[in-house]
Amino acid sequence: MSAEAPEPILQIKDLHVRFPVQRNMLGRVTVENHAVSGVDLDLRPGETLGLVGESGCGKTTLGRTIVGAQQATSGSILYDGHDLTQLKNREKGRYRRQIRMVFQDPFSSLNPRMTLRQIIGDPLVATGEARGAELEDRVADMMRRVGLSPDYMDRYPHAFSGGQRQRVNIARALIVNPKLVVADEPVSALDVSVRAQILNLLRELQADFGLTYLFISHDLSVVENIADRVAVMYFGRVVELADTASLYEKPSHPYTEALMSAVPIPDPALRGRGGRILLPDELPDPANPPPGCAFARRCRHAEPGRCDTGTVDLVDGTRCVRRDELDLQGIVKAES
Amino acid sequence: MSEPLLEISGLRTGFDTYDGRVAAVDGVDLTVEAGKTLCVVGESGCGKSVTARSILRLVEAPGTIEGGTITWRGGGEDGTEEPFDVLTLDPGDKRLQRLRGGDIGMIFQEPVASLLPLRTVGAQLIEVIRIHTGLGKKAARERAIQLLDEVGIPKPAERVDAYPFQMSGGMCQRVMIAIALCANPSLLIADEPTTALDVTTQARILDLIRSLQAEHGMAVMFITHDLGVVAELADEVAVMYLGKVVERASVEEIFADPKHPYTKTLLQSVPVLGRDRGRDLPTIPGTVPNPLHRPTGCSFHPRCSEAIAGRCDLDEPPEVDFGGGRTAQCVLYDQTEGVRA
Repeated sequence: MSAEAPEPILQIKDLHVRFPVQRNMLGRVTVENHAVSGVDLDLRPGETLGLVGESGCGKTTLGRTIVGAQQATSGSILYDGHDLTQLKNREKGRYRRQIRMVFQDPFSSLNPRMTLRQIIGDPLVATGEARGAELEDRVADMMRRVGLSPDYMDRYPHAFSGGQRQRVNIARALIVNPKLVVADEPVSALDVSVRAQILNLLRELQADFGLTYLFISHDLSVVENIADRVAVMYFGRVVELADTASLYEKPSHPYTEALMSAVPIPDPALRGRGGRILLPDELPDPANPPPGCAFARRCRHAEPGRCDTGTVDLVDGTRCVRRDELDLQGIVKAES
Repeated sequence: MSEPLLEISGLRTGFDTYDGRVAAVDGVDLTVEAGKTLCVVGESGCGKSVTARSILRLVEAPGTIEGGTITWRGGGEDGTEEPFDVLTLDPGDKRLQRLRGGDIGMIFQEPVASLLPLRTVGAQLIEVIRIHTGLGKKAARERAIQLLDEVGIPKPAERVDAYPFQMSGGMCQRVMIAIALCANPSLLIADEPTTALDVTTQARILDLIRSLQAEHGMAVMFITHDLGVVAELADEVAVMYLGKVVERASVEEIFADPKHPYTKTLLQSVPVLGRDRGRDLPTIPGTVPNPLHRPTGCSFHPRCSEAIAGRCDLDEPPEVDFGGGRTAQCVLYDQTEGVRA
């Protein structure tokens, strides 16, 4: 990291989120699933930080904890000098306006009984920020910004396609002028021909409003397209954090390498060019995390006695004890 | 060219809704050759799944197959049986029952939802084995364990008694593949089998399908919206848009020289690793139209940058044959007009 890195807009420090799965007779939690276990992450103003990982790695839980939809078990999230995990209820409203979320499923995340005017204007009504003609103007303006005609203001979500609904979702998030947007798989549920439109829109809005994005996705190609930096999560931890270019060209964690090798490249000339790392299925039990590196059991570079003991910290952007010994393979590029 | 195993011609399948009839599949011609992989690509609502279900006559009400023929040429032990049209078979016909899960195996997108939650995977596997092979209970169980081993499930002798919820999505998909394989099918229809899975799991399932195909010499009809998967697996590719096959070509041709404007823009608009870092992507404007309000003429014309006013919005585009099984439904290549050869 360079010395002149700007002051982060959000700092996550040693964040843990655990879910109770079993209680004893006295109601005390006896078994817990560790969804997020010790994440440290900084978000820089104006950047897009991509957060990738497979299902169950804790990326969505991390996003939900940042927007306050999920209680942290321990650790802190510093924003504007305040720890978001310690806020009193009446202070929360202020930060909810500055940190907003866009959800994955454009079908279930919009209330079918509300018109677009109500959905998009709701945050303004709830905060008492605008009403009457001003409310209408701001909703109309925001609709234009996300590429929807204000003529549709009094229609219901069912009349719109997935891509248009995702625009509504984005408008609802942005109408209160947030600083930070957590986008959880915003294009995964969309048709492939519509994804590019939404990705371009997010980029355009970021420049216009000076937004910072935490872009959560399992799709490495999409993240490479939109992110400035990428954090790779595995089993509740960030295992690698780097600039997009260096992460994709020269990964430094074996998990990142395996993940990238698994992405099918749309170029038949590259078929069977080898390099595909097939990971065994053995995922560790989230209620009982193994010592050492959580990836060790699936890792082809793991050394018994070194990788499966003690704790492995994130050093120089990678959580691997063999980081200096390994020469890992980046993405295979398509010809065109 | 090898022998055609399955020939679909002029297939039309529609659904009756309160708002009118939706032509989900609107005149589809497809050929699957023995031992080869045909990838059917398209977005949601293009009719790719309904086409696959029509082959096995699994279209449920309010859907009905209205027309066309589906000729199966893989009948009999050594393929000597007369070819027959699947669509004219009586629902109780033995040949139809043998086709479903016997000669043709099928796997679906949601592996966990496709398995019965209250029965062990072994019980579900054994049932299908007994229907199609006539093995006894004990022999069928042994065959089940052998199949689970073949699809890469660790400790198959124990896992045979596991319930679906005790397995991961990738494991359930392996069980589905085992069920599909139990009667040594000549064709495996895979309907987005890896869409719900993680990339690392997807890589292993694709690998498995490829090696099973090499081993058993079966044909695969693979339905997907992921162009990366197509490049990985396909021999032949059919691109579908709103119920029609708009382009058909070999996998090399479709990526190197796409003909139909939809295929062209689709290939550009999907972000590719190492190609599109940080740049604005070319987009296809608009969205897939509601099939109830199918545009007149070429259904892609409202989103097409090369559309010719007065032509594409009025006339059905001709199917242009480039030879070697390569076709595109687009006026741009209409030789009778000589616009572009």
